[in-house]
Amino acid sequence: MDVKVDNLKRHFNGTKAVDGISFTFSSGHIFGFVGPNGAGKTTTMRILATLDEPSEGDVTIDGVSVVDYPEKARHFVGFMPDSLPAHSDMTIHEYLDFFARAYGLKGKHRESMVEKIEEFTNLTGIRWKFLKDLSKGMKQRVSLARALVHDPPVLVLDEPAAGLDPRARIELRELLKILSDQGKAILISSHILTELSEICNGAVIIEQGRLLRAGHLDQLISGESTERRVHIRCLEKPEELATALMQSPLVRESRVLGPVIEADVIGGDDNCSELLRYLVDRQLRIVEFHQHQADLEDVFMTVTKGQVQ
Amino acid sequence: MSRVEGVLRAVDDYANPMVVKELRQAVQSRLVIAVLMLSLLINILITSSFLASSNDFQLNRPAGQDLYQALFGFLVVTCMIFVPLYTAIRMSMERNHSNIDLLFITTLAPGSIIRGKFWAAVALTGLIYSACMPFLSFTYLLRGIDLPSIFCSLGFAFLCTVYTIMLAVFVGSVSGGAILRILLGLGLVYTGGLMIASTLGMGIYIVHQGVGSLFGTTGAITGVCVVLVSGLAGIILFYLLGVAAISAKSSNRMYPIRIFVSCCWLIWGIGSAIWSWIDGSGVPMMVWMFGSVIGLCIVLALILCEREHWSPRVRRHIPRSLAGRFVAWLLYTGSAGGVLWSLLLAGSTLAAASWYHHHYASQFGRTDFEESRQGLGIALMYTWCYALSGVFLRRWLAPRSSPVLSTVLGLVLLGLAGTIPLFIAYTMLGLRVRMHELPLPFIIANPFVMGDSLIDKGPVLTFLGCWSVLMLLLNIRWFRNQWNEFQRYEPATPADALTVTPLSS
Repeated sequence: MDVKVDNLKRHFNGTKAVDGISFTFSSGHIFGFVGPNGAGKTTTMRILATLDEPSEGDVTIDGVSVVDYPEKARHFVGFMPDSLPAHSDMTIHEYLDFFARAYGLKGKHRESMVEKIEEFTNLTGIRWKFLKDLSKGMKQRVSLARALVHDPPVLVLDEPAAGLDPRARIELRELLKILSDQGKAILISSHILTELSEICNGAVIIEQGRLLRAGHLDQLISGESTERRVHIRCLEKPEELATALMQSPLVRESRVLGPVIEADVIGGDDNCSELLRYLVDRQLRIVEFHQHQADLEDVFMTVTKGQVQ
Repeated sequence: MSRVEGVLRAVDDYANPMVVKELRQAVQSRLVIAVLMLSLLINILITSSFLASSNDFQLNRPAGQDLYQALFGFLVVTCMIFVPLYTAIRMSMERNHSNIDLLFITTLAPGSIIRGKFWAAVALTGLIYSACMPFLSFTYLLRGIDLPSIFCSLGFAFLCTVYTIMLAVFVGSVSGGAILRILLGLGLVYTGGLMIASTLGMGIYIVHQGVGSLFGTTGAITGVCVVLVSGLAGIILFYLLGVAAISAKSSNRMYPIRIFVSCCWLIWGIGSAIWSWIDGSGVPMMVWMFGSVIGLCIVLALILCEREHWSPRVRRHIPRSLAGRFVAWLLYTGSAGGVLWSLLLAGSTLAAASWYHHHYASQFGRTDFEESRQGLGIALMYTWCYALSGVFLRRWLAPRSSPVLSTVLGLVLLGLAGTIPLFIAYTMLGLRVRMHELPLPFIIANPFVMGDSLIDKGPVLTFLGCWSVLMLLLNIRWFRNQWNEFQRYEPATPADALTVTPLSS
């Protein structure tokens, strides 16, 4: 199942909240949706979830337009908004049961589906707790369970990890991996880029409503770096190592980080190999030489300017 | 699974999810439980204190009637204050922009949501009724009241509560700023107060008079039918308005409402004509003319708030033929078409009433039909002029702003024209000058003083005619642009869209 965002635009009284975004993601993919505050992430996700209407462009889910056929599209999408359920006088089970009914699930199928989702999101033990008595992490779980209750093939998750403690984050990450393995297409927005790097296959980076980068994570990372960052440690004489690096034409800049020296090597892997040979030839007793892997955070910091509108 | 279980499961599956949710929440709500317990307690207190203090049951005093009135009053006040407010506040909280989930992200249709809220509130009313019924029935054992009167007054109160509930659901479903919500809330409280007063008055009147003597005449039955039909029409209208309020902005929100209002207008008109003809009295036609034109003037002012551009979702239903497209333009959501639609209905009302009057003038007797028609015509022209002035000002001052500003500017203009010239005139000429003695420029733009029959309407009509044409000319582009944009949209079918090659990110 493909989700295709095609030249999406959303204007609010002259402000271009979303300005011509296009990207595609498919079943089994987890796509990170990143950008500074006010970049247009939530607006895009709301359009995807049929909660808002684009000024121009469209989103199609398996060929079904969210603009032309929003009722049909809602069957395909499970949306987890950034606001959490806060309804009074309602238990978790009743809340999920209501959504299962609202999505048209009937009889035993509804009951088994709700039970399955409660089990999957680890809510079975607290299903009769009232929503208002839940912690933020638990409410996030309920919100995710609600998005999953009709077994949608596409999940749109707006800041699902915001405010969660480390354990809850790890558990959420595991759940998302399982969902991805089940073949769901997942679009997830978050400001915690290191975590997104660990679970996402791809990413979409936007700023001021415009698309900056989109694609698979490997493509994005390799596409951005024109040099390599290596960490080097020698057994003795670190000052000699620093001098040698400064003298090398392959190194643009080096920094001493305690016992380790960090060097920005111009070019690709060949030059890294040459640098290592050069250091060994200088009789330096190298015990550690490894490349620092660029990640989503590096790409994000490179391509965004931190501008807001 | 036994047969009973099967039936129960089928009922459970068939039940509106919103009703199930609302009732579950209600029975777990401390507030609802407190109100129910309090109702029981107060009923016990009223009954026991009444019985304890009365020692004249053997005399001719209608003790049952007295006790019934006290209990009935408590029931009406409880049901018509608590239930509508509870419903409106709950709906409003779920309608909150930051709390989108319950209402909008499922496949539940807006109509189903509004019906669910309505029926849940009706069930809650039934719960309060059932708690009070034993005490109300007990009054029958005392003197002075009969069962038909009890049931008739209770039925009437229940219908009034149902009407208020639907109004409350609509008020709760309107999204907007705090000011709008407060205004709507105050409107609900005011209407609720009026409904309580009229329900209490009517209920007590029924009990005093007795059903038999009250509904023995054809006129009374006709009156009851009129109240029931107009109440039902009001409930359907508020239902449709509620559905429109929670429907997606991209949907054709006003279409069902315009169809319904058009049908009501037509049925009311035909019904009034038949009634006038049978009764030989022009009063029903006069009532229809007044009600329709005044109502449509309000509609015309509010309709400017509607959208000026259409989503593909609406445009894909626009008929291909020119005539069909024009009719759709009038009936579909949209401000320019809506203005013409309301003007068309109001104009047709005046024309139809005039035609009837021309043919059956004797039925109107001593009623001042000509003056009423002229007054309504003037009111319609003022509405048109101020509405289009608001549109023109908005297009000129803030072309990118929301269409709501057109109505706001029109109302501001009306307010200014209705106060400032009068203030200047009375400052210059003194307070002793009477309205019709004021120079025309000070009152000509003020519709509120036109009720004064001594004011010469000739120059006013000339002025309004010129102003109407000027506003039409100044806004002709507004009409034309909306008409030109109102074109059918042919979306790609899902099957076609599947063949599109995915974008290369």
